Amino acid sequence: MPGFVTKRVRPIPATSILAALVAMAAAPPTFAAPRPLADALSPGQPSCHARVFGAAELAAHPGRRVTGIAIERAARDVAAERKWSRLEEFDGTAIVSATLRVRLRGDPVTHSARLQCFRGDGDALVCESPACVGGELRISGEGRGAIQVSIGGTLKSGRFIGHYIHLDESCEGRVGGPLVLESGDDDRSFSLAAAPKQACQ
Amino acid sequence: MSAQAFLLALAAALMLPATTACAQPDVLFPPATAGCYVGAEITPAAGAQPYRKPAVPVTAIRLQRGHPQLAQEDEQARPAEGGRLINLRVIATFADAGKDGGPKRYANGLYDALRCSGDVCDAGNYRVERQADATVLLRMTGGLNVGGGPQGADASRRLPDGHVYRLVASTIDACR
Repeated sequence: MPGFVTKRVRPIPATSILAALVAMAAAPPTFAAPRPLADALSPGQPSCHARVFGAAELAAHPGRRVTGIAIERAARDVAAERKWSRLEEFDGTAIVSATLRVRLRGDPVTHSARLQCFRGDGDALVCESPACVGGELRISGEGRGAIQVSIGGTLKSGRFIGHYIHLDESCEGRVGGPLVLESGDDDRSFSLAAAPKQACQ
Repeated sequence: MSAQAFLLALAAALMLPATTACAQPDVLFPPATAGCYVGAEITPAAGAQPYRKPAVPVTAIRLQRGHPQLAQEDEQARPAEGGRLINLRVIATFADAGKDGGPKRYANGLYDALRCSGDVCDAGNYRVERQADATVLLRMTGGLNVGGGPQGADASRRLPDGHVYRLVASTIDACR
């Protein structure tokens, strides 16, 4: 073609392409969002957050059923989280494993439920009981390693919608109805400080 | 009665049915209101696909709209083409619930959305239809996968195409 100037393209050495591919494969996935509450519920480390309500607090809140509440991540939870972290994360993919322990007013038994938590809005976790699907609680950060556990929540209109979480694995099979912790007037949210492991037993 | 008062009364009488008709979608799943329907399967139609892997029938179905679903709806815009989007948790209990350590309940995904118009809410693969007797039918129109148990157990089952479940409005407690 007259007047058409062609330019020789500089060949790219195959070794450069190979080096780039190796670098891409070796680099950590930068697109992965950081795990929520990574400061309070540190990946790879067990944790315990607990709260016990004293007599004065219970007297001030006669409608409160909960006298003690704890969220524990033991070694088996950390192991489960490590396993899950290798999976691709979708909506509802569990990333945090924990045990909820609750003591109720006038009840000498400590009730517990296994929790699987997935990414919620912002830096929060949404936790369900894998045994009795349907209930949930939410965990958010309160700073300085503390967490807030809430059940139910407020819509944009300001209306509070209550909810529940199962406290055992009997679901509807329990005589007298399922055992749940529900968001009564004084049982909607709980502030839990980081605590020694013994406080979660 | 004056002519003006008569006209006002007539207008009100004519507007009332229209208002009721507009409110129909909200009757099935009222906005910002927790709700629960509980029921069981009605006799499957001749062409309905069987339960498979394992061939175990459903003994109870729950439709739950609690805080998780309402909070999700709170973030969704109303569709420009009319109707509204709702979220629903379909919780199934099979006849072998808890047997050999298996899951006691199975449920659909957390963010299943249904488009509601009139007395029908449609997810594409299943529908919820309000009946004249105030019961609702959960009708599989393609089938619904439901999962259960801890993550990694890979326990999933299917509510097959053609199966229909009749449910009644219940207290929230019945969905727990």
